[in-house]
Amino acid sequence: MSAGNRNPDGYVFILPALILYVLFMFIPMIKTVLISFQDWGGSGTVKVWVGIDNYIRLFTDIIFWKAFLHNVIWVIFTVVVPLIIGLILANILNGKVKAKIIFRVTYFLPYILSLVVVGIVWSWIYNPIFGNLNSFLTSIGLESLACGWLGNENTALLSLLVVGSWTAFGLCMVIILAGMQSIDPVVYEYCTLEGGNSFQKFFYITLPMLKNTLASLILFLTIGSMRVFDLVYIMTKGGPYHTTETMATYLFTKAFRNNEVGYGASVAVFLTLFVLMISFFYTRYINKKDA
Amino acid sequence: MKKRFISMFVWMLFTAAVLTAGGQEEAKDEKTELTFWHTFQDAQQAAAVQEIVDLYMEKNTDISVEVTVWDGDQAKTVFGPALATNEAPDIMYTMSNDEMLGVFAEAGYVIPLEDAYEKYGWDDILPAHTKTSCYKNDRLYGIGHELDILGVYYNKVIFAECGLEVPEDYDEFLNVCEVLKENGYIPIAFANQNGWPAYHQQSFFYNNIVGKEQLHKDMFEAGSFDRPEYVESIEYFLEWIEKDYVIPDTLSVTYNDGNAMFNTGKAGMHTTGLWAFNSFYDALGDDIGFFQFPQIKDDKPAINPGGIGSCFTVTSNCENPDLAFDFLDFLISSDVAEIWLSGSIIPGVHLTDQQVDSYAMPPLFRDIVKAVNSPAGFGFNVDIYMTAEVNEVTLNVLQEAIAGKKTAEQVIAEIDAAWQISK
Repeated sequence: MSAGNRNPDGYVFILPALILYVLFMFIPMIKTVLISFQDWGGSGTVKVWVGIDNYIRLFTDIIFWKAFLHNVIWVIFTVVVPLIIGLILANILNGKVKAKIIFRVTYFLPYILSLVVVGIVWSWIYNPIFGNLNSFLTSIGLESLACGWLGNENTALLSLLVVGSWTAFGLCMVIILAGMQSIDPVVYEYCTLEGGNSFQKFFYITLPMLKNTLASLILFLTIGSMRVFDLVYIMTKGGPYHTTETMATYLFTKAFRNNEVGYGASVAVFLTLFVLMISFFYTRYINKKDA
Repeated sequence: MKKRFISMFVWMLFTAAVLTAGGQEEAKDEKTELTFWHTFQDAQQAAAVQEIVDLYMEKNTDISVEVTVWDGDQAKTVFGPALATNEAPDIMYTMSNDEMLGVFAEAGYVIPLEDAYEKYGWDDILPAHTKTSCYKNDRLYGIGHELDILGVYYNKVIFAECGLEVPEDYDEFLNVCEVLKENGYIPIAFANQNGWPAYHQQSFFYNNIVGKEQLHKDMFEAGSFDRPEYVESIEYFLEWIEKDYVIPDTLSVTYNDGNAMFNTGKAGMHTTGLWAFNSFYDALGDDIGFFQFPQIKDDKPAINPGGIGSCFTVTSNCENPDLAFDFLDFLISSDVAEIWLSGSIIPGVHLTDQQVDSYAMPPLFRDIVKAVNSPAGFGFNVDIYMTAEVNEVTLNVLQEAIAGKKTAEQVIAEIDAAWQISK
């Protein structure tokens, strides 16, 4: 169909979805930006325009930057670890494994569980009194390692990162496996004929051909990690004393518990812009490499 | 043309479906409706409230009261938006602190009640302290309810096993802790992953070391927490941590898990409020005892923090305030006090010992009700009167102090700094 002969019926069909998107996404986003320039308690009608005061406060807020750092750590850990585990598992399952489907379903299960459920169950596992982890460590003679995992500043964040990675590796495995299965087996046959071994096949064929799949996964996981809220809120609420605070939990506390909606909105705007910036530069980098 | 017509029809169908998604309006009942939200989520408490509501509807057959029960944490995030969007009920049971009632009052979402107090004579039946936290900007917005008192619950069986008696002063209390610890029990089931249980320990020591009068001045007369007595209070609290008198890894254990430790006989004592009574009584029955926090200083009489935490309010949504007042008058009357008490809720209305003796309730609860209604009264539950900012700072610095990262001086300095900014 030529540009001058477009069927306008298509616009009619996307209009309802567009209306919903504008009502529930676009307008609230604009309002959030406006609120970020105001001092508002969340319940009253009076909103005092404060200009960029909330943003100035943001840039001098130690706890906010602590939360930001935790998000960066979260990104690194919960992207790299699930990706590596997913690659290894996908590579194994791509070979001759019996009852493959059982493994695929089992490894994918953590991803489909509600994060609230995951948070509650793992809180039980980490419980210093009756948790399975401390019981297990004690039973194998490592009682000295048993501790209050979620209440100790040295272990709380790491404990959450383990859970975060646990929820993501299954997704990585499934997507990478799908990518692997789309690689033409003839390429591997040529490699075998040329005398290539398994490692060479993996690093010189599999990985390069999975480049686009991995790039998309990394971006998807990164965005998810920057927005992490459920797990942290359920398991520690950002404590003890902000040692597991993330930007999302911080903005929730500020906006909905401390009635500082304007300041919370400024955190939300910063988070959104930061994620957009990462996505933009990352996508540009990948496209450049492709070119 | 036909295609376009079909497209338009589909779009109109969709739009109609979206616009009517709320369903059809039900036929209007002839009864006058009153909506009531509360946060008595404990099953026994909720049942008591419903019994009172049903009784009111029996007496007023032309009125229908629709009750919704909310979780306390949910209420913090739901009530405000509901008020802001005119979706709030006629009557709301809300916390009387600045975070909730203060915000609602300032926004004009709840109506002042001075006229209702005068018309219904509530001042004659409600003690003055039930109003203290319901004043915002010198206007009265709530009817205080659910008297609470913080004290020490103890396991009588464990005490007997260890040859212990109820301590009469603080030195004896510390001795009780030592003996319990030597016998393999956790002395005090204090668990602070949630952060807020530390507020109550802070209140115990503030009231008994600083004293009620000075505390009142510093909280209500624009004072300061920058006093050695407040530092000393925190040091007394931290002594429990240093001597391992609380649950190990207390920052990793939730309040509910701490209660479970007490309920399952692993801890000898628990310093907490009346809201947990049902859970303790269900688990331990008559093996549970209660005593007031022991005297610490010779010149300061022993006093337990307590008072009103929540109150009934009438929202500006309410189209029939007189009906709402009538319902509230019934809710807080002594006629239904026994029903409140059956749910382990101490109503705000003053009760004499004779009245309390005439009601059916567990003996321990009877003792607590009498203690609450005694002329000695109670001290201040500090976090109720602090702003959200101060409470947030307090929660975090106390956790840091428990972890050994901050001294008592640093704790008080930070709390006071936050108080000076936000009071």
